[in-house]
Amino acid sequence: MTRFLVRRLLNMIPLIIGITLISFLAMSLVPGDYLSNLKMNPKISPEVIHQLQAQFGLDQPLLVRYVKWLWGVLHLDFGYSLQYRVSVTSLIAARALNTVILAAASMAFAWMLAIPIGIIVAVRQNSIWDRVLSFLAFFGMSIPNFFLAFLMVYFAMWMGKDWLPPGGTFSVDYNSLDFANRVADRINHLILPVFVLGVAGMAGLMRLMRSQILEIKNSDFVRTARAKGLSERVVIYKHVLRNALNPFVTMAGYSLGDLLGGAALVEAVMNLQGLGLLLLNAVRALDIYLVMGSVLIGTVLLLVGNLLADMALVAVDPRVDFSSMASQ
Amino acid sequence: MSAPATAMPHPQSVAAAARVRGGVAREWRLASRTVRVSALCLVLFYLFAAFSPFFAPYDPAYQNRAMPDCPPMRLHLSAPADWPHGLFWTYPMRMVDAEERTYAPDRSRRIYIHLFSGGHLFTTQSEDQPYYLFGSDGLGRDLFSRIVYGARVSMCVGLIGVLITFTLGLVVGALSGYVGGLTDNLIMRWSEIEMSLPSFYFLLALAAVIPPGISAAQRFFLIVAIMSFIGWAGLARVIRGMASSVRSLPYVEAGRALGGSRWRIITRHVIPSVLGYAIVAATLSIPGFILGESALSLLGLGIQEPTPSWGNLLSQAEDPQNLSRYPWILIPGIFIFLAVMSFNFLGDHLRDRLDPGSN
Amino acid sequence: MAKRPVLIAVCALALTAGCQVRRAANDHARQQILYTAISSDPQTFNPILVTDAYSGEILGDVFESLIRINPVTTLPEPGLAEKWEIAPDQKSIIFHLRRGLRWFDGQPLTARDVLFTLDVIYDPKVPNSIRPGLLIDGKPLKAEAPDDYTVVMRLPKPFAPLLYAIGIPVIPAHILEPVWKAGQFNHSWGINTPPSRIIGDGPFRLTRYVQNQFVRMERNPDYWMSDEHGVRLPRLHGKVVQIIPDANATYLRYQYGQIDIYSPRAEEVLDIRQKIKTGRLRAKLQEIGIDTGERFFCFNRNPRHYVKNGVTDPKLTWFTDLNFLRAIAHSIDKKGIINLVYHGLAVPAVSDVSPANKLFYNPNLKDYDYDPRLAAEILEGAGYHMADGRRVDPSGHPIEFNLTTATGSPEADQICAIFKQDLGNLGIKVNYQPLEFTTLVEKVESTFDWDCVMMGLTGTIEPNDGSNFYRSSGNLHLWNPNQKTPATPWEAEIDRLMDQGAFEMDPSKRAPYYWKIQQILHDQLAIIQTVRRKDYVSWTDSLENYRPKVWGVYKPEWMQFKVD
Repeated sequence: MTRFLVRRLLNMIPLIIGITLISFLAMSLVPGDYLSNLKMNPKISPEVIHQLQAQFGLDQPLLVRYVKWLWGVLHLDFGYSLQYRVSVTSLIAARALNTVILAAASMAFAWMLAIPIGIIVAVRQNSIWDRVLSFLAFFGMSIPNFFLAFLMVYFAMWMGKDWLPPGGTFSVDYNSLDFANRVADRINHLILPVFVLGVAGMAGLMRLMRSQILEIKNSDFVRTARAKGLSERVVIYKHVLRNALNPFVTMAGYSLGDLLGGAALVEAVMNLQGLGLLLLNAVRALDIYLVMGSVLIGTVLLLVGNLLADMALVAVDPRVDFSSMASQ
Repeated sequence: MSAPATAMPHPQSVAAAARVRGGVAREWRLASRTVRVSALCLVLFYLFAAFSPFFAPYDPAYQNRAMPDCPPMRLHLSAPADWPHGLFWTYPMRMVDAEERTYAPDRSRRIYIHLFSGGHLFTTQSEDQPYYLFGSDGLGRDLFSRIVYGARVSMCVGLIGVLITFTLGLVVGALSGYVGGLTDNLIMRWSEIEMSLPSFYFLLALAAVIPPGISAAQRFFLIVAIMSFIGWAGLARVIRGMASSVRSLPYVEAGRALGGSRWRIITRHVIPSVLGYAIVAATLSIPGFILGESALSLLGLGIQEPTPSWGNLLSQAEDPQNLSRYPWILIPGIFIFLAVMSFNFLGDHLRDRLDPGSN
Repeated sequence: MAKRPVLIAVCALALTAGCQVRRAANDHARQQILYTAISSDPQTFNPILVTDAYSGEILGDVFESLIRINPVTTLPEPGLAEKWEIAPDQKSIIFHLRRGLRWFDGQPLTARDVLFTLDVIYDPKVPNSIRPGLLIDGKPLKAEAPDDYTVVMRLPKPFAPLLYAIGIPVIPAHILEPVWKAGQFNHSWGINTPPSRIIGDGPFRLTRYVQNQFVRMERNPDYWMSDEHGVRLPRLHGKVVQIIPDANATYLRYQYGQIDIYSPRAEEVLDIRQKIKTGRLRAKLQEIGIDTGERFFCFNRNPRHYVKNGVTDPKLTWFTDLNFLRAIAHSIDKKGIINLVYHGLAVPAVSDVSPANKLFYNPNLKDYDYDPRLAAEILEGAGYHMADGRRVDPSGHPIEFNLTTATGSPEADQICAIFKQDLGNLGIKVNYQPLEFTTLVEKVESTFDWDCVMMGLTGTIEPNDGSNFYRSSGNLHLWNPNQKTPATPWEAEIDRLMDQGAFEMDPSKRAPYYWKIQQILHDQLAIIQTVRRKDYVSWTDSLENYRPKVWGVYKPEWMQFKVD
C-alpha cells in the first residue's frame, strides 16, 4: 500500500507542473494584464500603471514569473491577488470550503435518492414505476443545470421572502447570528443549489444502479442463493446490493471532481461564493495568481478525489488490490 | 462537459456492430416510442439547421423596432370562405404601454398567414405585420426565426465537435493501445494531464483569447475545436484499453503475420473493432457539446450576437426582470432540453442494440 | 419489500425541507444604521492609493478633504477649510482650516497634515491617481503653512481646475509619516489592517470589515459639522456597506428591505414603480437627472493602425471623411435605442458633456437626426455608391469594418445590434465582436488594432479632468492617442482651448472655451453620440433627508430614519 501511495503521489508531480504550466501559458496568451482594467480611468496615468506593474512584478518575463510562482508554491506561498489585494491562500480557503460543502451535499442528496429509487425500479422492472421513474431520470439528465438554476431562482423570487433564498451563500445578517442559526442559514442557502446540482447526478446514478442490479440479479450466484431458499429480501439486500454498489465507490471520487468543475455555472447563476465563481472572475480580470492558485487547488482536489476513490475500491472489492492498481 | 460515463463494453459489442445493418425500417420497428419521438425531434432540428430560410418565416436579424418583447400570438383557423386569404389568421398586436411593453390584440383587423409562400413554410404579408409564433425579443426580432437559425449552431456544434473528438480519440487511442511501449506511456501521461485540467476554466481561458475580427463561422469552429481538444482524452483512454485487448486476437495476429503494415492493421482491424462502442459514446457525448456551447454563451464567450444560437438566445433569461416579464424567452431552453434528451435516448437505445448483454 | 428504500427516500427529502432561522427583527432603521451595497470588495483602506471605485466609496465617509463639491450647484464649498482666498495675481490660494479638527485618535488635524498629504501625493514612488490632477503644466504646486491653520498654495501659473482637484483626502501625518519615511507607504493600510487602526477625520469611522461580506462603520462623535440647532452631525449612528457582487441579488435584497438605497436599471425602475403603486414596496422612487456618462461610437483614425509597408488602408480615408461620418451619425436610431434598450428612460446625447453639468454643458448643439434617407444621400453625394447590394467607396473598395465593445453588457450588445442593422440598410457591413474589457483596453490603448468601438466614459464636473481624452497628447484621446503634435487643425484648436480654459480663473469666462470644444467634437464627429440614461434612485420610505443627485448626495450628514 505504501508503494502504491508513493507511486501515485509521485505521479501527481509532473501532472501538476504540466497543468499549471499550461494554465499559465494560456493566461498569458490574453493581451494585457490585470492593470489593463485601470487604463481607461482618466485619472490614472500611464506612469502609475508602470509603477504598479513593477510593484506586482508583472513586468518580468513569462517564465521567470512562472518559476517564481512555483518556487513560492513550494514554500506554501500562493501569491497575491491583484483584484482583492490579499493573499490567494486566504481567498481560496474560504471559497474552497463553500464549494466542497456544496459538492458533498449535492452528492449526498443524489445518492440518498438515487440508490433507493434505483433499487425500487430494478426490483420492479418494467412496472409503471420503472417506466415513469426511468423517464424522469432521462428528464433530469437532459435538463441543463443552469437552465434549472434559472427556473429555481425565478421560482424562489416568485415565492417571496419567506421561502428559500434564491441565491447567495448566507444572509446579510449572517455575522450577527449565533452558531446554530448560522448553520440553519447556511443549510437554507444550500437547498436550491444542491437540488439543481443533485438532479442531474441523481438521474445518472439511478440509471446505473438499476442496470447494475438487473445484471447481478440474473447472475449465477444469485440464482444459487435463491435456490438455497433464501427469501427475496435477503437475496436483494445481502447479495445483489452489496455487489451492485462496487462501481459507485469509484464514481464517488470521480464525481467529486466533476462537481467542482460543473458547479461554476450554477455558482454564477445563483451567486454562490465558491471556487468556480472566484476563478471565473479572476480569469476575466486577468488576476493571474488567483487563477493559478484556483487551478492548482482544483487540480489537487480532483487528483486526491481520484486517489481516494481507488483506495476505497480496494477496500470494498476483494478482487482489486494495490499491486494490481499500481501496475495499471 | 464531462467525459461520457462508460463502463468497458462487453466483447460481444465488437461483433454486434455488424448486426445493426438491418436497414432503417427494421430499426424503426424495433425502437420504442420514446426513441422514435427522439429520432423525429432530431431529424426536425437538423432540418431546421439545413433549411433555415424555409422554416423561418422572417429574417432572424430583422428588427421590428415597434414591437419589442411582443408575446406569442394566438393562431386562429379561418372559416372556409376565407381560405383563399390564408388558412390561418391572427390578430395584430398593438402596443398598449411603450415603457411597460404590454400588448393587446387589435380585434378590428386580421393578419392572414400564408403557407408555402415566398419560399417560407409560413409567413405573413410583411415583416412589419408579423406573426410571432414564440413572441419577439427585446429588439423586435422573431424568436421562432431565431430559434430555427440557432439550430445551425446548436445542432452542428455537437456533430462537428464529436467528429473532431472521435477522430482524435479513435486514432490516438488505437495507436497507443496497439503500439504500446513508450508511445503509449507518453500519450497516456498527456491524456491524464488533459483529463485533470479543470476543463471548464480552461475553456474559459481559451475562449477569452480567440482573436477578434474573425467571422462568426470561424469563431464557431474555434470554439468547437477548443471543446473537442479538451474532450478527446477520455475516449482515447477507453479505446486504448480495447485496442490493447484486440491486439492479441487471432485475426489481428494473422494480419500481422501476413505482413500488414502497422498503420494498415490499425485502420483495418483495430479501429473497426472498436467502432461500435465509439458510435454509442459519440451519441452520448453530443449533449455535452450542446450544453457546453450554451454555457459559454451564457458567460458571453460563445457565439456572438446577432448570430443566434440556442445558448445565446437563452442567456436573455439570466436577467430575472426579463424572465418575469417575458417568460417566452425560456423557449430556447426547451429546445436545448429536447435536443439533449433526444440524444440521450438515442444513445441509450444504440447501446442496448449494440450490447444486449448490459441490459 | 420495497418499503425501506421508500423510507430512506422520504427521509432524504425531509432533510432538505429547510431550517428555520431565528433572528431578531430587522430593526436597523430603529438603530439609525443605514444599509447599502457595493458590488465588490474594497482594495485598500489607504485613501491615497485608491484606484477602484469601491474603496473610494467607502473611504469617502472616513476621510474629509479641504473643500468639497456641492452636488446641486456643482460649485466648491467649505470642507476642512472653512474659507479660502485667491490672491489678486491668481497664482496663490490661501486655505483657512477650521479650528478644533481632530483625528479619530484625538490628535489635532493641522496644516502639517495637509502638507504631508501633498508630499506623499507628489512622491514619485507612490503610485496614485491624484497626482496628475495636481500637476500644473507638469509642475507640482508649492505649499507652505505659515501657521497650524493656514495653508498657502503657490501655483506656477493660474489654474482654475485646482479647486476641483484639491478635494483630496487628507491623511494623518503623525501616523503615516514614519511609515512613508521607511518606504512602506505603498503597503500601508491595506484591507488586512484592523479597521480601528485606520485613522481618519470624516463623519464615520470603520469598525469592522469581513471580506466578501460587509464593511461596518459607526458615527464619528467628534465630526466638525452640526445642524441648524447646533446638534452634531451625522444623524445616522452607523452604516453597513454590504458586498454583493451580483446586481440581481442586490435588487432582490432591496425588495426584501435588507438594503435601504438602490439605483435601479430601466427595467427595475418600471418594476419598482409598479410595486410602489400596488403597495408591495414601501419606497420612494426619484429621477435624479441625466447620467454623467454616455455611450458613443468612435472610429480609429490612428495612422499607426492603417499604414502598413507604405500602403494606407482605405478605412483611414473613410474614417476621416466628414461626409462618411455625418452619414453614420444620421443613421443612428437614437429613439429606437431609447425605446428598445432603455424602455424610454433615456435621452439622446448630443454633446460629450452631460446636461447635468450645468456649468459647462453647451445647449446650442444641433443633434444629427435619425434620417436614413439623408444618410444615403450624403454617401451618394460623396461618391460612396451602391454596387451589388454593397456600399463601395469612390475607389471601389466595399465598405466593411469591425465594431467592438466590452462583453458583459446586454445594453451594449443591443445598441451595437441596432447600429449594425441600420448601417446594413445603407449597404455597409459591420462585423460585431465584443471583447473582454482587458483585451479591449489593450487594443485601444496599446496595439491600436481596432476600427470602431462603442464605449462609455463617465463625466466629471471639471472638464479639465478629461484632459487625457480631449488633448491630442492624451492616452485616452481614443481616435488617435499620444500624438506628439496635433494631427489636425481642430485637434490643435482643442488643445489650445483646453489651456485657455484651465488658466482662466473667472468661472463665468471659462464655459465658452469648453462650449467651443464640444462644438468642435460635435462637428468633426471624432466621437458619435448615442444616448444618455436617466438616472433613478429608490430608497426605503422611512429614510429622511436623503437627497441624491447625479453628482452625489446633497447634505448626506442630515440623513436619518423616521422612527415612530
